[in-house]
Amino acid sequence: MKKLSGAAWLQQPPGWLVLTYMLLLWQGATWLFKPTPFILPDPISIGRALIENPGMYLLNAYYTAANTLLGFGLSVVIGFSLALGIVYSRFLDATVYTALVAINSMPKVALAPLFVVWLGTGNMSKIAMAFLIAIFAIVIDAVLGLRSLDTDIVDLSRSMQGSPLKLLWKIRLPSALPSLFAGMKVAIGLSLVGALVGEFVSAQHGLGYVIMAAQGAFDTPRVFVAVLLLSLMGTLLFRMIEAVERRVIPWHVSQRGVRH
Amino acid sequence: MLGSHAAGPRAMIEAVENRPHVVIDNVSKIYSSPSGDVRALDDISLSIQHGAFVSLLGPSGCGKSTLLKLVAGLDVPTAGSLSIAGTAIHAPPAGLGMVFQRDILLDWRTVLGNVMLPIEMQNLDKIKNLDRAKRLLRLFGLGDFLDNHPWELSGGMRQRVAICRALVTEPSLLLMDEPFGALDALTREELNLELQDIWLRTRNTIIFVTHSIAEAILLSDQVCVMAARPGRIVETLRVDLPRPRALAVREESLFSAYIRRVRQIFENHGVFQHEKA
Repeated sequence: MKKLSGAAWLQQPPGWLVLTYMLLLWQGATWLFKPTPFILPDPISIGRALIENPGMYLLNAYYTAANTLLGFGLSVVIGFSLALGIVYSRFLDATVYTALVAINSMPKVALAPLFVVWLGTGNMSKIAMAFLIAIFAIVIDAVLGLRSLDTDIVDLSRSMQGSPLKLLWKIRLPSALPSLFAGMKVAIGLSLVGALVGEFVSAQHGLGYVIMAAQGAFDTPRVFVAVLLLSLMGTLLFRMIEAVERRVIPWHVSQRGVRH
Repeated sequence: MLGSHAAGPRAMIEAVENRPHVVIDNVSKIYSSPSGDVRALDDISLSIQHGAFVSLLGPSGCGKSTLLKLVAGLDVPTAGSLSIAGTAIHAPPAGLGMVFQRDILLDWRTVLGNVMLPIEMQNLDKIKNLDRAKRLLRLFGLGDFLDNHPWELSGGMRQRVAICRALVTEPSLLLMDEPFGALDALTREELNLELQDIWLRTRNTIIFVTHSIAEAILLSDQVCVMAARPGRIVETLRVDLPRPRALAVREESLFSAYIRRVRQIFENHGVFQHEKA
């Protein structure tokens, strides 16, 4: 490993170092100003809250993550299928696309209570929320990717006597992948928000439920444990998509400089 | 038909070879736009023999690329008809290879994968054709780059890959739309010679679009000089220089005479207006 000079550490400090500094600063500030733990707990008592009951947090994190991933997966599959339809059919472009834009322009969180009425208080209403909030990003980026095909490439494919299906499979789909991944990276974060909002409205488990229950019990350290776990989860989910992206489109301009 | 039967197979082959490969018959192409109709091509007639190297030479907007698209069956004429080996063109015909100004290689495919694309698009036998793809790439000096990706190559190498991609199906007709227009002058000269070499081996029919007078004369048997507004062929020139032609042929007086001829034609049709002033 290359030894970093002092200047390089300042210019581009590693992530763990930045996080450690932030925690130290936080801890120091709570020692100094002594806010009531109800307002702002210190990192050590938050850590203690986590260690007291790790299994409970893990189980609830699992529910939130599972609902997020299911909603996200559905939004990718259905969103990409819709995008294909929109690109190939003028009718779907005029109808589905217009409807999607209309749906997207309303604050989808406002629908969360309705989903509970329709789908119950179980996982389904959370998955539906995670799905709905993410699908727009998928459709928009997938349509962009599928449409951004060079006219020369279309001509080339036709001159090779390639069928429209071959053009789709061998040229259009691969060239749309970078856009699709851009959409997926936005969508995965949105899905987490959707699942969490679903849990806020009504739930028996999940980190959103933990937050609501802890807040009701004035147990702010537990709220913070859940919030920190959520941000960790969000980061991991995003990194997961990035890792898949690196494997699937190593040829793309955005990936060529990436060290694996 | 019966008569040629009696003359034996050799005569039959010659009869086929003497029939023109590409026939363009009174073709016009008009693009309608809100500001009025644009005559991209005006009453073009041209007959191209099997195995000929023909250039379409002219300034931008003379419709040379449009004409190439019509021959490729990628667009339809407003009036007139086109045929390849006696069959009217309605869609891209079989046995066609195309090279564009931009190489449009697929970034996710290797050099070899890009050359194999037409084979896959036409559902041809991949294993049988793999050898030909490799041989072609070796012929163009790309033998060491089979597994590289397009972005790792120089512009000249990329265009060589594009040419191999067009040749891998052994097309009888090769259409090239300013294939070397984006390359630097030295690479362009190299590729001119390589193209001549491969054409002398394969003897397929080539229609070559360019706006370089010297390039057209160096490569072609026949140069169709075109002018714009409306796009038309103003004169067709035979180039009788011995093959294979080396770059040095450009210093010969006969070559300069051809250049002067073409310049004169352009001047007569108002292409070099600024030079007259």
